[in-house]
Amino acid sequence: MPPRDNDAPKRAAKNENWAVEEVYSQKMSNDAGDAMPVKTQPSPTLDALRQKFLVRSQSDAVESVTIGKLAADVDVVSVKPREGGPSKTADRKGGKITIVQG
Amino acid sequence: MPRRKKKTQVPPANGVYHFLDVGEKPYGDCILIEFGALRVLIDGSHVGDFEGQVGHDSIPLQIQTILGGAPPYDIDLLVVTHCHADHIGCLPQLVSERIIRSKFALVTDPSLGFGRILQDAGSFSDLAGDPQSQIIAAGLREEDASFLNDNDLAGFLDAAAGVEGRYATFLDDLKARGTKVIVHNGDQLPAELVTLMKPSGMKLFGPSALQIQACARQIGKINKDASDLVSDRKGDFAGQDMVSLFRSVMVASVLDDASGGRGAGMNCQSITLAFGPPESRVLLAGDMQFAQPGVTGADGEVRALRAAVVADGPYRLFKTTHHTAENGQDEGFLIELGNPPLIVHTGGRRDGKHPNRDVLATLTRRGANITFARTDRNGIISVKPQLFPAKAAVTLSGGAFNDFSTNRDDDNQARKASEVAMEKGSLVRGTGARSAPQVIIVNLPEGPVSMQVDGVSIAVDDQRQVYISTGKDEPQQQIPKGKSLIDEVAKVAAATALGGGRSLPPLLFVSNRALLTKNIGAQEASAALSMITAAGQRLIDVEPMTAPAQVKAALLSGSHIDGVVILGGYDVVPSFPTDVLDPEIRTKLGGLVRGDHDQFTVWSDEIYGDTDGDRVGELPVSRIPDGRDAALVFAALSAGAPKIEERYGIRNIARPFAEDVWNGVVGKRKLNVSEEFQSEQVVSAELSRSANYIMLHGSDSDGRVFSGEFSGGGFPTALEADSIPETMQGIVFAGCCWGALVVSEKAVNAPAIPSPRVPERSIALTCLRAGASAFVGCTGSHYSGPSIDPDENFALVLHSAFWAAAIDRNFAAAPALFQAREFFSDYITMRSNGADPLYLARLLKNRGQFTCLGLGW
Repeated sequence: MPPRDNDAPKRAAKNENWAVEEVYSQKMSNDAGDAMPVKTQPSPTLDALRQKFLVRSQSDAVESVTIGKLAADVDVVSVKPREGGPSKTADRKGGKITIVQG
Repeated sequence: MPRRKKKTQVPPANGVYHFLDVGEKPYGDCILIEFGALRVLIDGSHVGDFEGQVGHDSIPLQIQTILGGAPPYDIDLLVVTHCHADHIGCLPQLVSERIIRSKFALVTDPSLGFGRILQDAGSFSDLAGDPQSQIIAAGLREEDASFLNDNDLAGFLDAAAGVEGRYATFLDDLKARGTKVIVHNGDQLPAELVTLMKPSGMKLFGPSALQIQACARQIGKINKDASDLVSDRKGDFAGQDMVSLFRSVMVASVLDDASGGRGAGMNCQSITLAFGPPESRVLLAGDMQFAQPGVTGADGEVRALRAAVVADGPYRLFKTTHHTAENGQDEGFLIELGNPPLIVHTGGRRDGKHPNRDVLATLTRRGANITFARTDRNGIISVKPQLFPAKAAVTLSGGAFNDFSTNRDDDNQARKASEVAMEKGSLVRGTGARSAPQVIIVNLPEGPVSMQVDGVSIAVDDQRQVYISTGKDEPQQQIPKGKSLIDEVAKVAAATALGGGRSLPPLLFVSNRALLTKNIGAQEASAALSMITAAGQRLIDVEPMTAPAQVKAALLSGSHIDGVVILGGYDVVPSFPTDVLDPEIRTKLGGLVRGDHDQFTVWSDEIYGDTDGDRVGELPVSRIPDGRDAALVFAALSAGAPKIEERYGIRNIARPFAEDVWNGVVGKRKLNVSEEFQSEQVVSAELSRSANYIMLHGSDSDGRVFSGEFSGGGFPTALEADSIPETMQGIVFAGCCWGALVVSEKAVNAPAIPSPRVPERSIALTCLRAGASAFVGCTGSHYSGPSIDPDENFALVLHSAFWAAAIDRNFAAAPALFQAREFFSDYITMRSNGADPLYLARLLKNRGQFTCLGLGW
């Protein structure tokens, strides 16, 4: 087991462990979205899910605003660990990187 | 210019290699290989094996058992590797008695093979010499026989003395019957034979002409020395019988040939062949002494031969050369061959020197990584090298794998159960109801015993260790001492029944027999499908292109079904790359789609549970991927009800939410946290009967490893496939990216037919092969995060819902996942009105990508 690195949490907080490889945003074109590279089958639509599972009244529905507006507020970035290893999907908000994959 | 039609290269066929039982007598080699209709027979065991030894089937009967039907059996190529009596053996009778007939014969030179080099002034070539010297020379050309008792030594000398003449007659007989006889003198094979054998992938390595001649000179020297000795000491030998005479000659230093063994000259003439496709290559080299040639002037040629053999590797199956003698192979040679996982020894049991003690020690050290079978313990050994795991590739007619014990020269230890006369007993009336178990107490005789009771093979070795097996395709299981044999027999019998023999709810099993057969073999596929129908479950055979429609039709017709179980990988019953996004959401996301490693496209089997066409499954679906591994299929099909005695878990240090999930998993163990916790700290046994929760990083390119995180950066390995215990009776839920990916390609990169992973490449499949009831995991990258707020980190919601449902469902993972997905779908719909598209997309991805591998019921 490698020796404990006591400064690691500080570095992590400063995002020093990760290097941003690529930034994605809503405004960018999504070539793959326009033409998926493979033939896919669709999954259930939201309407189908609502019809099947929204058994409670609409008034019980959670106000989305309380959950935050990810797409508008964050950049989705691909980051690579400086120590080596596979890149990960992360959210970058206000300069802070949060790994959301895995 | 007209375009030349490109020739299609057909890969060599996979063969079935049968190593025939050569009985109790020392030495012996006889190998029958089938490549579909193409057949090869290599060597003919001992001369007396045409009739058979006590307790062992004759060679003709064994051939009949393997090939079926009546003789004569057509053989495409007959090989005589070299001229020792235990290799020529009963081949002459097999031909003369019309048991076999062969198109081609590739044989050792009948002159050089016995050291007759007329043009070489330095060699002895007088066949018409003194009869005593001829017998002594014949005995000395053979393998060491000094350990035999007088009776056996007399028989040995008799066989050895007659073999040269019988061999000459045999070759004449072959020619007379139309066999094309090719005498190997180091030349290449004729084109006609090469063409015939092409489907087998056969390659002839040698020996070279120089090697054959060097060997012949050494054999010739033995002939001459024997003649000289008898001539010089005629007076000393007067009145001695041949056995005594031979024993006295054997101690004479003038004939000491200890360097490479007494038979080195003949052994190093062994015709050396490889067969099969590159991924399941097989080396058959007679008695070639690769490690210690022991033939003057042949060292360089043997080195070249060895290099050529090694260059053609790696090998999956290796028949040890020279009856596992130390001069045939050593550690270095095994490494050079690519560490073959399948190793077979041929030879008789009444032989204290073979297998050699040191080589056995080498093999013992490799025990965990090899499947070792030996004709002196296992009788007929049939190997299909292409099957995984190694044990599934080998079928034994008796005994257990990996018996590394040495032999002894005396007879008592060699007695087998079949030789033990059964005393006539009185008729015993059973007790209890018709279906109740009947208890029979048998006092077993001393020595090894092998018997069958109602299809269950029971073997007891000389250490009184008991092994049981239900049949040819089922590996032997060792019963721990002190355990009840009755319980264990019942357990093994249940292990071949669907769900371990328990009552399952009505399920619809879906497969494609022909495609499953391609992946795991015809008998194996048939047995697997029979397990399903024998249990009274419904099984449908579907075409890949129309499978969902066929399943839907089956679900809508007939009686009630609780769930769908797919049997086979994606190349048997397809899974579909599924776009988890509503088209409107995909449009709203724009370039953010590319930030997802799967572009929100995952493999999904949910469609197989959809009966009303809305693409939302109405029934739980689980899948048993075959992993090209019959053992996996049998283990998964026969998985009993999950036995959960504790919980076991590992989480990434950056995923504290998993602690909340952990609180809902039954048990007392703490959740291990990686970075501190790393794979070497995994106690495999703790996963065996546990509810296993794994929240680590996974990789689309390597399914063998899940990782944690170092807070200073980097990913420590936290769980490896090698850490999975050999047997599992619990379930696994893994929130690891691509943890349940059973093919090499992500859905977004899917080719028409994806490449299946084998258990060795996947933690999930390793768990199924170990008998786990289910592995629930992701087919794409998984969304979670460091937050412990369920509204931000919805992984907490789905994971917790699964474990709650699992407890409700007695850990039946397929309905538990189905129930959890329903809960999570409700959770999504409650948050879907005006929700942020990225948030919604991630919710939908986690909903769509969790899948249940294994029986799951």
